[in-house]
Amino acid sequence: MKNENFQPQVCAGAASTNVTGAKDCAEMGLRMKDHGIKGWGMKRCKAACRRAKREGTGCCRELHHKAECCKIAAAASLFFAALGLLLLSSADASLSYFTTYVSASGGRNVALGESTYLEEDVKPEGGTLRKEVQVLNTGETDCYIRVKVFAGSQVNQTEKQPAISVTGGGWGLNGEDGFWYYGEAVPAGGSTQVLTVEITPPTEEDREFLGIESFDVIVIQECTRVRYDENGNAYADWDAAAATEEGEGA
Amino acid sequence: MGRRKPSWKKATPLLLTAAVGLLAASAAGSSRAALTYYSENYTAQIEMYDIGVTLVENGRDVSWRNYTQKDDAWSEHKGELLTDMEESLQPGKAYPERLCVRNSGNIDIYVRVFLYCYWEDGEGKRTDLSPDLIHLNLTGNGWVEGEESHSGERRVLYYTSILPAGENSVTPDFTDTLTIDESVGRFLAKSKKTETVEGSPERGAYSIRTDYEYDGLRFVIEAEVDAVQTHNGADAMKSAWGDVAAPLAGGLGAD
Repeated sequence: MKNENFQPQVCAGAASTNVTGAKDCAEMGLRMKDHGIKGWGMKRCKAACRRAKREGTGCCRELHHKAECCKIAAAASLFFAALGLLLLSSADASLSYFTTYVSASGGRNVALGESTYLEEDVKPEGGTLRKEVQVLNTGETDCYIRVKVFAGSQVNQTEKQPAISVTGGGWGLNGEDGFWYYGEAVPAGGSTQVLTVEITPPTEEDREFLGIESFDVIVIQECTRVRYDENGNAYADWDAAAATEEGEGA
Repeated sequence: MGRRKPSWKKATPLLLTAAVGLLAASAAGSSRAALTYYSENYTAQIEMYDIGVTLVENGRDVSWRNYTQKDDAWSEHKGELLTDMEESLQPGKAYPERLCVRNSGNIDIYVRVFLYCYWEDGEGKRTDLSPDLIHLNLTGNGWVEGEESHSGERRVLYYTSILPAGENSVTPDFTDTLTIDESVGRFLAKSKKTETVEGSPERGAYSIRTDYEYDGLRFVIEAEVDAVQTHNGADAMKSAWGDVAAPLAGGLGAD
């Protein structure tokens, strides 16, 4: 007698297979419930088959099929689960791509201020005074430097002024403004070449005539940081220059 | 006389074996490998796919991040830009700043770069100074600026070609010079400017110094490099970078 709960679609392949030695339950005069089965779990099917063999009552085809179907169904479930897992993992792989990234940063200050230092060394040489002038760039920016040398205002008669002769490598006189320009930008930490100023003091007679006992030779230094035009060419903006002056008595 | 085992009975162990095999295959996970070569001794060489990218500044490797199959780890280093420059840069002066990207992996990649420029002081980012005063000159050589760029503050550059794998596979420079705009002095001079004269006339020496007080103000540049595989390039790029109109020469590879 066929059990109504038997589900051949679950194990259709197995059901069509000829099971040697197994007989229909009806042929064996057994009913499924004779095996004491209440459910269709694999364990119970197997247990029932084992018990039927032990008791010599035999295990009918339906029950045998059911037990085998349960095993196949379990294996099939495992197979499909594994297949699903594999598909999932491959799907995951296809959605994750090789990527990487890298970054770096850095910062610096902006140098704006100028700082220069003027050194003078005065040496009497015979009847003249020799003044050596050198300007040091003590700031962080490259600078252009210019210097003006002239006698003090108390010597207001041109022909009686001390004679001043200025020379120096790298320096050039601009006749319009009277400044000596250093030809190159002085890099931060660098210095100009020496500008030599030779001063011939007025004679005693001239001093008496002028009514002075001493006079000043004044040196003005100006610096301006290097500017750059649109093409990257350096230039000096003397309107923005920082200046100071110093006098030297004689 | 032996009884033949029904064929459907054989299905169970077969299915179980197949299931175990499939599970083992799935457990291999992301450590994908390709069998590329058989020697006569039947030994096999396994080629591992590692992605890697390096940011190069003036010929110096600054930062890199390379995948290594060993222990599934990344070899990475984050360096600093501008370290070979003077401590303070002069406005208007063009300093060499050649940035490029090297493929330090063993697969072809697409790359893009984000460039950020801004000002900061001791209290953080300064928004009152324009990032346009920081000129990081773009060469345009093989690189195209993306639509996502926002003026000087954030710029996005795409390398328009595939950067192939290889030891010396480097893009052309995407920047070549760095210049701080001359006009920055006008903005900074607003804060405070002092002039001092020091020295001793007796010693025949004196100095003049002009200082701008701007509270530790400095500029910062940042570069971020993104790389993605070229295999299934369109999907990979979309997955990693989103819907971007990457201006790539010849379109995206779909291989």
